[in-house]
Amino acid sequence: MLLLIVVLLNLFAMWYGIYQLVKKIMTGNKRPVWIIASGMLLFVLISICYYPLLLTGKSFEGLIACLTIVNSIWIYLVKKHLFYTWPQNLYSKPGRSTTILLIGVAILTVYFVFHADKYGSWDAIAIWNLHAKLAYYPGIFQTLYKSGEGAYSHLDYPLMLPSAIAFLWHTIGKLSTEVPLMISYMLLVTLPLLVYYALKDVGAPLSAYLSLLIFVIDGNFKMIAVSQCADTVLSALILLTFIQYHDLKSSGADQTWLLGFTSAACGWVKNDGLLFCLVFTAFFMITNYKKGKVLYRYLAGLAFPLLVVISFKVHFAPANDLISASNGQLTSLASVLTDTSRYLLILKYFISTIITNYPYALLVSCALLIHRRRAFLTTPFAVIGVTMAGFFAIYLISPHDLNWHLYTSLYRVYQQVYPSLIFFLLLSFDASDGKLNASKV
Amino acid sequence: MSLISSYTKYILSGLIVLMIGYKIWKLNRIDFNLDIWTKELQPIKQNMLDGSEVGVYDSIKNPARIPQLQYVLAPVIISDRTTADSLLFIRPMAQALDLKGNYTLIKEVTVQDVIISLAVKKK
Repeated sequence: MLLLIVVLLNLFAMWYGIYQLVKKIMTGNKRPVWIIASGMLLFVLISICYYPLLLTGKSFEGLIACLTIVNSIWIYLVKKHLFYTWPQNLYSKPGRSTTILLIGVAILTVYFVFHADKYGSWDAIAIWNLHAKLAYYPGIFQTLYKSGEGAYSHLDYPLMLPSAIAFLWHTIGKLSTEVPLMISYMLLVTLPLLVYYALKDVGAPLSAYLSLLIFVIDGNFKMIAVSQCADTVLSALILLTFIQYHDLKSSGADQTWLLGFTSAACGWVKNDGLLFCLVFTAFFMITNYKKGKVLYRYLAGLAFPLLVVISFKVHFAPANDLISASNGQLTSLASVLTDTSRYLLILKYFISTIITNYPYALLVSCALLIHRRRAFLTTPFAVIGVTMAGFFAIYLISPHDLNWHLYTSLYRVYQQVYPSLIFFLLLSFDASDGKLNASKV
Repeated sequence: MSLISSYTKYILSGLIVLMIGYKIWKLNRIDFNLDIWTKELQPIKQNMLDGSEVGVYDSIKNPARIPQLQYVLAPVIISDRTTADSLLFIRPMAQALDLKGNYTLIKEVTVQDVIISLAVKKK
């Protein structure tokens, strides 16, 4: 019980610290976005804090002792500022739109009540929650990972979600199915809210309500969100990266280190996130190559989560099935790349998945194409497009049965960029050209 | 009107909390397959060391069985190696146990429609 109280106090201190930083950086947004963003970043941070336990095999109590010391030091250093800002930061009178939002949340909750499985989807059981169970035992984690190679599936997947779940299991003192279940619920609710508030903050209230409506009625989004897989965590962090990017661009601020941190955190969730991080960073560097300070800060923020990912890949992860020696497609690369039937099959799935699983995104895209096609020429759409092209290339060299691989994964790949796509599509309806042009970033 | 609106907010908030509470309560009252497997395999798990490797010989050849056992028996490493020093023999109810001559039976349990036997290689 004492441990639970100490951990909760530490988590609150960490969240509040992140909240203060987010508030200073995301100046174009308001309190709800800051609260949700700091919650997401706290989730990333606890998984990063847990990772040294897996490396060293030390106890959870030791980690909490270290966190308590660090939190005590920063609270002591900024205590005056903390107490000044406390009341006005945490109290806010509910607005008129609160009822509509609560109706949206209630509908999403009804879906959760009727459709969420206790153990999640098959992938959640066999990959994410199983890896979390392994991560729950830091003392034998190295043994489990090394002996488990070949026995367990996808041990090369990064550990953000499993580590965060293991951290929370230690917090409550037992392995409980409620932890991943509630994480999936929080994501189901906070993602639509984040898009809603981010759109509202940029002065697009109609688009904000439309986004809420889309997420509330989109059965595909809700199904993947409650599956307890990492795709929705990744989509939340990709969205947060884009919201920060848009905010920095609009405000002209140059505090890009948090943007770097968030984009690299995507790579700590899934290998797919590494692809996004690579593409986003490449675009960011190309569009900001003359701004040394902006780039330096971005790369400084990027370095921390990226080092964790590299450490994981070096210490624990076996070779990914795409680049391992057993991938026969790599040895016959020329014939794979000239096989037109593979291209056509992938293309067919890319199109049919959008039509069957993401009709709302398709509908809004068509509307924007008619209304304002130049909007598609902006950096965010280019990043999403190149990321999807990257997935196309990955499917091309996939060692698995292509039909099976596309059928079982493509609809989840789309989910990773779906909230960001909805955000930018709806934003583009309202945004004037000036809003989408670059300033300092 | 504003009074109704403010009550609506409280009612909706309360309803959301109640729904989540109901969901958790309901899930804990139902025995899912994995709950049954976790409970029934407990006597076998007590004979396994955390971090040790146990192979599986599944005569039913259900592809979902190994991931299911991995989840239930973690942190014991369950592999598909049929030559491991410790082996889980899985067979349907009607089938007799065949330990392939060189294994000793340690523990046996029945879970749903299958019999699972933990055996170790004879020294």
